[in-house]
Amino acid sequence: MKLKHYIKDNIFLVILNLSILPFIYIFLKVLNFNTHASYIIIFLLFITFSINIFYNYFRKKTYYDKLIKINNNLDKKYLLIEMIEKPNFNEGRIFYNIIKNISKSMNDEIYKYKKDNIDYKEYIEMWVHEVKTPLSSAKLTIKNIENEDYKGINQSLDSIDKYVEQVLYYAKSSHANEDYIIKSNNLENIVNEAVKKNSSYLIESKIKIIKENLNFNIYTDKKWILFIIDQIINNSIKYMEKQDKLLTFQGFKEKDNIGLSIKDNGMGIDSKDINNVFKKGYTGKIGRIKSKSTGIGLYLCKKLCDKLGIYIKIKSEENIFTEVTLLFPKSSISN
Amino acid sequence: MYKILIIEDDRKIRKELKTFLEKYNYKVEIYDDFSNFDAEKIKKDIHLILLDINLPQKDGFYICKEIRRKNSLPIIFITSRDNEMDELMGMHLGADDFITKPFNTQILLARIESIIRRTYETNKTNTYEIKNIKYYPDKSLVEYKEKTEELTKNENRILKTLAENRNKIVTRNQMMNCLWQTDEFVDDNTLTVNVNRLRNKLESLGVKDIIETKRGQGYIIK
Repeated sequence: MKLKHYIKDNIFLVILNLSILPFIYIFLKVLNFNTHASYIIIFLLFITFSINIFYNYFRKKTYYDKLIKINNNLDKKYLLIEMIEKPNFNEGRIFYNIIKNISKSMNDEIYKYKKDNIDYKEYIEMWVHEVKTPLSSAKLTIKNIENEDYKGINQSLDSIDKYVEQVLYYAKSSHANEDYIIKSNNLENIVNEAVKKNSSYLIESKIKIIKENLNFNIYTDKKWILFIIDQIINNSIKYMEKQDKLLTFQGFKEKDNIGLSIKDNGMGIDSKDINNVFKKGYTGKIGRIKSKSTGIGLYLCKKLCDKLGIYIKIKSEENIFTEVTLLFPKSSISN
Repeated sequence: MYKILIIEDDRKIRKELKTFLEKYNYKVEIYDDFSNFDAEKIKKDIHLILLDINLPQKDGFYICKEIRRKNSLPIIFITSRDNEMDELMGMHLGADDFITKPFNTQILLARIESIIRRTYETNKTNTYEIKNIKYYPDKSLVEYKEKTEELTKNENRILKTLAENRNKIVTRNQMMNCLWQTDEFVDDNTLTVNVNRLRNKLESLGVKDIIETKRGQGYIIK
């Protein structure tokens, strides 16, 4: 708050007060008042008036400067009202009360949405668990019938299961409540488990699996990372059309990280698309040709990786390869 | 014959699970009195329990705790709650394994088998007799007229799969899937090579044509 602006704001008062001084002087002169006494009166009036202006200026300046400073430093600006005290001047109090009401209603609104959001997430999680029960019994039924003709149904059930899983992790990813547990896991075991989970499709698609240098320990949540690797493997299965299909899992150690590279020799990604693959709903050229993409898989991977503190990057050359690399931070325990 | 108790509230699942396990030579019993669970009610001849977590009244964790207070029967949790927290909780309460729905039946069978072997068959050896050949899968050995031949891990797994599915055709994909479950991610060519080596070993013992090839379908032992 600058003095210049304050005076400009109160210019009417200033002019009025200053312009009344000569009138008072003339008035005193007419009354034959002592000249010195008149000067003193005029001077006193001037002083009083100036003190009035400056006192009000400093009072407001102190308050508003503090307000601006707190507001600038505040991460969540809508909480401002909780951080400041009530001003000691009337118009300030009026504004204070109004802002207080506004932010209270805003906070109520936010709380309502938060609660709705939590309810919705809980409902999704419950629903996913519910739907897995009939899915399991359907799969067991098909298994018990043991008829090759029903294989198609079994594969459809597996696809449903994958989509359902995606819904679950989507709900988990967009939520503040963290329900993961970070602990030490062997990288090779994790890769083995992810490959086994997709064994039927990998075998059917005649994809050769190569594992290299995977004997590392990583610190992460097992279920989440399995889901992430699962999405990457499924992308590879979808987009490999060559004769000799290869899927390579390679571990490596960098200065502060353990890395896992998952590389296929499939259709690859157009260089125009590569920077957008982690965006939600982005399908790119291949997505449009194959019409199998939803643009959710990699988006979810990125979001979950961000939460787990894993760095994910993708490299590709069209018609040659696609390589997704995950970098796991080394835990302080492992050093 | 081993007896498995299924504690699960979904009728359809437990019925299908029962059918499935009976096909693989397990006796199956179903527990469905959830109103007041009493570990004493579990019969003495049960060898293993498959336990769901989401149950009416008391949940699976409670039941697991109750059972553990009485005995050390192997318990496998079968659940749709697929998260690390539940798994740790289950293991903490003394469960032996944790399998998530919808389950891969191969994995389910393998886990049941390995737990039963670990608990009840530490001294017993499994033997198959195929046309006068004695086959010991636990020792990776085949024996014929006092001659023996040692099998590699993959060969052993192939022969075991065929022996378990005797008189049924095992497709190449099924066979590969079995090998993959032991973390051996062999490809098509490697499978052919392994089957041929296994055949040569059996032939060197003096028996021919034990493993038949069904063109375009798979392999079979009769």
